[in-house]
Amino acid sequence: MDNYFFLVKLTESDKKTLIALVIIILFIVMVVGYIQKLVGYIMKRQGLVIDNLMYNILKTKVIDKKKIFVKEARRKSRIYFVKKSWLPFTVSVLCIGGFVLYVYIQRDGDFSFFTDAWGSMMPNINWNINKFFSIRIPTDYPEFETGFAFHGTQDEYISLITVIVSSIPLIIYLVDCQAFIARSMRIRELCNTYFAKDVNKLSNDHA
Amino acid sequence: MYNIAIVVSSLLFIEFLLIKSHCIYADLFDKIIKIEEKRFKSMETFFKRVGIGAIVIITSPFWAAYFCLYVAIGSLMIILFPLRFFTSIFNGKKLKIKNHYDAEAEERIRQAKENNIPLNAYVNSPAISPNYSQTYTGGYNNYPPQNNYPANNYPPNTNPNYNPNYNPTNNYPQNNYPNYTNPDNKGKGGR
Repeated sequence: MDNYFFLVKLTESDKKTLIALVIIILFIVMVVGYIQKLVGYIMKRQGLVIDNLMYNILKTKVIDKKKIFVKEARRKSRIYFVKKSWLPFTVSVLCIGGFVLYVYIQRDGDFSFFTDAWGSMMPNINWNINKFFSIRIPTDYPEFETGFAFHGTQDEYISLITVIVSSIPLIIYLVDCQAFIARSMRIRELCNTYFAKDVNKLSNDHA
Repeated sequence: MYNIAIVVSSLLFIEFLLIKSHCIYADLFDKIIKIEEKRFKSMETFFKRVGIGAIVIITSPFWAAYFCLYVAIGSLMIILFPLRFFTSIFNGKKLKIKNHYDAEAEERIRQAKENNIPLNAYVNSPAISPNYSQTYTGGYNNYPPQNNYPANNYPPNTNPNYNPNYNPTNNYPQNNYPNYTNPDNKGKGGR
C-alpha cells in the first residue's frame, strides 16, 4: 500500500506533466484508431476491383458454385497483382541491387558513406531528454541546431537518388500488396454474402 | 404532527415548483438534453476510436506479420511469373485476366441484348414477385408490357421429343402430339 503514496508526494509540475503525458498517449492511440479507419476505407475501395472483374460472370450465372468462384477470383486477383506491380518491383529491386553492386565494387563494401551523407543532409535536433519516474523521455520542445542542408557532394547525390528512385516504386509495390490483401478479403466476404443461402429471399416466391 | 405537515407541504411545494419550472423551461431542457446527447455521442465515438486504436496497437505484430507474408508471396509470384508465362505458352493456356468464363458471360449478355431478354432472367429467383392482381382498365393499348421472350428460346430445351416449331393450335407442344383431326371430315376441309 505504501507504494501508492508516491502520488501524494508529486509536485504540482509533476502532476501537470503526468496529465499531459496521459493526454498525449490517448491522442496517439486515437490517431492510430483513425488511421485504422482510413486504411479500412482504402482497403474496401481496393477490394471492389474483384466486383469489377467478376460482375458479368456472376450476373449471367456462368459461375454458380462457391468453389469455382473462389478459384477463378483468386486467379484473376493474382494476375491483376502481377500486372500492376511487376514494374515498380523490378525498378526498386534493380535500383537497390545496382546500389549494392556499386558499393561492393567501388567502395569495398563500406556503406558508411551512405549514413554519413544522410547525416549531413538531415537537420540536427537536440531533444531535451530528462528522467521522469526513472524513464528517460523528452520533457521540452526540441531545438534545431542545424537545418536541412545539401552540399552537392558525390556521396550525397548517390544517396539521395538511390533512396528516391528505390523508395517510390517500393511504396507503390507495398500499396499493391495491400490491395492484394484487400481483394482476398473481399473474395472471402463475397463467399459469405453472395453464395449464402438466405431463406428470407425465398419468401418472395411464396408471396 | 405539525412538523410532518410542514415537511409534506414543503415537499409538495418544491415538487410543484419543479413541475412549473419544467413547463416553463421545457424547450430549454430539451435543448440542454440534445446538447448533452451530442456530447455523449462525441464522447462515445472518441472512446470507440481509442479502443480500436488500442486493439490495433496490441494486434499490430500479427498484422505486420500478415502483411510481410503477403509481400513475400507477391515477390515470389513476380519472380516466378516468367516461368509460369513460358509454361503457359507450351500448355496453350493464356495467362490473362479474362478467360473462357468471361467469354461465356459476354456471349450471354450479347444474346440477351439481341433477343431483348432482361439479364435478370439468369438470376434464380426474382427480387419482386409478379403482380397477378393487375386488371384491365380499358383501352386497347393500356395493357402492361408482356414478356418479350421469344417462344421457347431460353433455356434451350434438350428434350428430343420437343417440337421447336411453334404451333398456335397446339396447346401442349411439349407432348408433340399431332393435331386432332376428325376422321369424318377428313378430306372435306374440316378437322
